[in-house]
Amino acid sequence: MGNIVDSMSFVEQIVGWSGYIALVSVFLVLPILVVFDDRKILVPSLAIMYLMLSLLFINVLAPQIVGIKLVVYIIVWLMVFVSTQHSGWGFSKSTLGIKRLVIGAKFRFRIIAFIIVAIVGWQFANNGNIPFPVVSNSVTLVATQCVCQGLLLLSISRRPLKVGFGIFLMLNGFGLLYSVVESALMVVGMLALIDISIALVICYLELLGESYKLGDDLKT
Amino acid sequence: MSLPMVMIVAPIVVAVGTYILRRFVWIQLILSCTTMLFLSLLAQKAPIDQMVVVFGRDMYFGSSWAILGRAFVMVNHDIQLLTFLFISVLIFFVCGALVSVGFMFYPILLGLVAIIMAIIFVQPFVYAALFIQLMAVLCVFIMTDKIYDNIKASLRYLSFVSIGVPFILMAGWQLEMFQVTPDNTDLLVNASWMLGVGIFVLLGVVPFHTWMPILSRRSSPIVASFVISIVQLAILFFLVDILVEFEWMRNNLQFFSALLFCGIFMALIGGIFILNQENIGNIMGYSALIDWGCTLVAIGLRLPESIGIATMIISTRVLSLIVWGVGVSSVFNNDNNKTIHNMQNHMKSKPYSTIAIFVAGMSLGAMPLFAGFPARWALVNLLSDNYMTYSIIIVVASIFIWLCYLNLLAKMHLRYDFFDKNLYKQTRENKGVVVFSLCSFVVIVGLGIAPQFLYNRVVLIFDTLSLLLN
Repeated sequence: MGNIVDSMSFVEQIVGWSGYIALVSVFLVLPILVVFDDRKILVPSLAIMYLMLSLLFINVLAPQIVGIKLVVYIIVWLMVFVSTQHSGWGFSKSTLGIKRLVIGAKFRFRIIAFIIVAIVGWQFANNGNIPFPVVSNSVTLVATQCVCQGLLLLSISRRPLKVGFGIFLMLNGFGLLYSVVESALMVVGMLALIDISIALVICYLELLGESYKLGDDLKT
Repeated sequence: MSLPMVMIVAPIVVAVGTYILRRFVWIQLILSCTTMLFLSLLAQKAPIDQMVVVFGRDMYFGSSWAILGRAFVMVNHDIQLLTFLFISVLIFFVCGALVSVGFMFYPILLGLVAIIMAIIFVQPFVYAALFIQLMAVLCVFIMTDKIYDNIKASLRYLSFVSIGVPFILMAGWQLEMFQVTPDNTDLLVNASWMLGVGIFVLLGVVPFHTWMPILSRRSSPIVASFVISIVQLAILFFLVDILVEFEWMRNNLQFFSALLFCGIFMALIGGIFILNQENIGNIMGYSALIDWGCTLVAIGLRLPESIGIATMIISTRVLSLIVWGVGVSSVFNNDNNKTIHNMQNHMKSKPYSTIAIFVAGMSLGAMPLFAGFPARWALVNLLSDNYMTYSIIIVVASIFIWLCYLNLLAKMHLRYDFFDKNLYKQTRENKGVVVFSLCSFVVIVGLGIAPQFLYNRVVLIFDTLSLLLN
């Protein structure tokens, strides 16, 4: 009996802290996902992002269902990890970087775009323009940020991995809001299936993209 | 026996079988075609929700299939639509055998058929959005492969579908809320604009159309034809299902106006961009965009006769794209460089396929005497009553397509004389492609002269919607 009470209080403690911890972590990880191209940074960042999103899902879903979501996220991350392992961890010459303290134009553009989109997302969350009930401010804020930054990633990225991250961010941000109103197991299952299938297709394209000169593709 | 279950499970089972037998293309073809024939016969002949005697045994063909608390329901007005779909896919299968398709072509197309069935049957409609996303994922595997390894079209298509799907899920939730609080009509307004935005994004309305020309330029021609004609058609079936199911959506004049405007905008943008294209894939992509625009315009007019015109446009588009896919696949033979210059090099050895490309292109552009013309002309006539500017835009966009193909024809004729009999004697095409090209020429020109032969059959596809709009 004591164990059950202990575990209940542990879950409550997690729920209490999850919002703030996740909010801070997501705001640290999101710019990395948007701005950088280096897979050595991107893939671990995705893992942190998924962990934080799972933490936030505790606010809107039953812990058992969050467990299922976490398993799905682990599968997706493993797929991304393995495909990156195959296609290589380095990044090509065309990607941005900071050389001799000179920040590239692409880097500056992405930082500015990130800030603008972050402000737009914050305005959306604060003005109550979202057609979903608000569970907690931190959940809404993270969800809108994920959707907006995901859309930004979709619009500025050309590489399969980053486009995939954009889709993941957007769908999971939306899923965070949608789970408040539709927590049926069928919907959670279908969304999980979609997550896995998108991961599969992104890994397929990533591996295929690496097998020929991506540069030729980007020129056309 | 549940009909929706058979129509969803059978293609999946055969898809697995064809994947296992991927080394034996002919067995793949026979299995796939037999499945489509069986399903089209089932759709046509099986009496829904009735007991019948089959081979001395009592059989009950149920109209619904419940799984995980959700239902897949087949209704009477789906029959014509399903038959059209199965026959179209069957023709694609046969055409796939004529040209060199990848071993994944048959399994994935069968998988797509199963998903399209799920989109049409699932209740409540909100779950169709999830199947649409799965459909997009599956399409990527045929849009990009080792031969046609351009990932741009796949990424864009996947991105746009991922953007569109959440809107449909949100619309479904707004509708659920409306059932709880029927007095709050704001929920219906929200649901209709969310549905509208979602469907427009999924249908590739400008500016979400960019994947279409890239796909037709850089992917396998037969796959591009399939995705642009059949896969996109699933979204339209979804829209029509919603219009049939919800009276408030049918009576939403703003939604129909938006459809009309988006359709015209597609035709306008397609017309502007098609003029300076030097790639046969791009020309097809923009022609298809204009044709899709005309379909949306026909539905947006919200008239019983315009729905009939929409079905005619759809069916001639499917026909034209099939012929185009076979022609281009045969001429370029896995060569990804589909420029006019490159086509001139290939034309000498592939004159029949070149003719098939012209015929399909002219039909897609609605040139007089070709299959696409009667429906386009009827649409322009309907439009000219109230929207003269719109009808001019459609006519001008169509003329631009003709100019493109006439330019292509002139360039080919300058290189090789089309009337030279030796050109046809020296052909290196296989006999199947030659026969197909000649037959398609006869069928497309025949339908251009006698469109009622096709119209009388396909008008039944969206019959329920046109009756409801009456």
